[in-house]
Amino acid sequence: MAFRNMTPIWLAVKDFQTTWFRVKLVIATIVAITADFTILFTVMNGWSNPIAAVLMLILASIGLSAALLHLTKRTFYEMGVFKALGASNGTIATSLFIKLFITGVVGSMIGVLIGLVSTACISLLLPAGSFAITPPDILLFAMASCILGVLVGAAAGVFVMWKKSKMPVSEILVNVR
Amino acid sequence: MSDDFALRVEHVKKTYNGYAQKINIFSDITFQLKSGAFVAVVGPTGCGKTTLINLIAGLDRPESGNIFIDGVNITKLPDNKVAELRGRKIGIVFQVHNLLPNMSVYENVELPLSIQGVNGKERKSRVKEALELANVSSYAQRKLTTLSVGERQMVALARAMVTHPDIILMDEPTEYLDPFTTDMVLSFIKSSNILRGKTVLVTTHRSKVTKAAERVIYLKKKLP
Repeated sequence: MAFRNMTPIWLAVKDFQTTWFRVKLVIATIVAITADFTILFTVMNGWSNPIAAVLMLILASIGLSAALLHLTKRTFYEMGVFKALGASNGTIATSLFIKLFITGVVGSMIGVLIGLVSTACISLLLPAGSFAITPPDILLFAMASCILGVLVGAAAGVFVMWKKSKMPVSEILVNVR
Repeated sequence: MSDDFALRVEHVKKTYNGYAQKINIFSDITFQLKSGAFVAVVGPTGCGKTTLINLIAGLDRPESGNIFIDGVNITKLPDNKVAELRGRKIGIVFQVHNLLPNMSVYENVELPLSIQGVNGKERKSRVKEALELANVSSYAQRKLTTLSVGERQMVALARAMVTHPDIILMDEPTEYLDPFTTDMVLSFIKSSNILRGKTVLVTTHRSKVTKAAERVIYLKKKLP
């Protein structure tokens, strides 16, 4: 019975391994978005401008959510197959959340790293004292936006899938293939 | 809750929503299958053969009527219960396989057992058994995308058998196959039915399959 509770994790990890090319696509998107916004924020001298900071935070979250939702769309057919083979909605939703969360976190970490390196490079090119913020501030901001984006994206993905799971399995398999 | 019949379909009605009007697939279909029966369903394209398989497997819901699997009325069960029962009691071979292309043959066959939470050791031995039964062991580690249609069909048969289901539903399993692979599929069906006592319901256009079946159900296409 203990193993039964591991089923969603098994499905998520299996899926994560086997659909690696899709995951890479999403990670690349997340990395680009995160890096872009980190650089942009830095150039705008972020913390001294709270409106810009909040705006960047929202935009970064939307970007991450959109990337994760895209991943959800692609897994709709797999959900149909899982259901046809006897998986419950709960198992599918949990495995999807785990998959999206792993994808989001990994993508964000790489994105933040690239963002920090890019920021450091830009600051070297500009005159001393141009920035009012320090690297730890950037890291904090980037992490906050990523965590928010990952949570919103994963929850939205699960919600969309939950709604779609009400469709008859036969329709999912015919329409999504 | 056992039953003399492995499967009972009682007064089932099914319609689909068309663009202008409802399309009536079945208005009242009734039949029973005894445990260990091998029955073929034939009829012209569009008469509802796939719909019938979907309804019996609980992949779709009828408008009215009842469907009993081993005495359990699946039309009255919630989705999750139907899925659980389907996973345990029914093996399905779809017309288009519905295998996951990014997984290997082994992983595809292993999937139903993982969903059921079967432990690793048991899972391994059952997958090995199913692969050998369908004669696909030699390419167990290959990706689905590298296989021919016939090879994929044999993998789909292995996946349907891996959970040791009581009932096997097959939707035109020989549709896109050459005569040699058709014979392989047919011998697989017969051995599952005779040697392993599985109840088999297969939809088909092939006379070879209908001749092998002990009973044939004819579906007529309803005129609009």
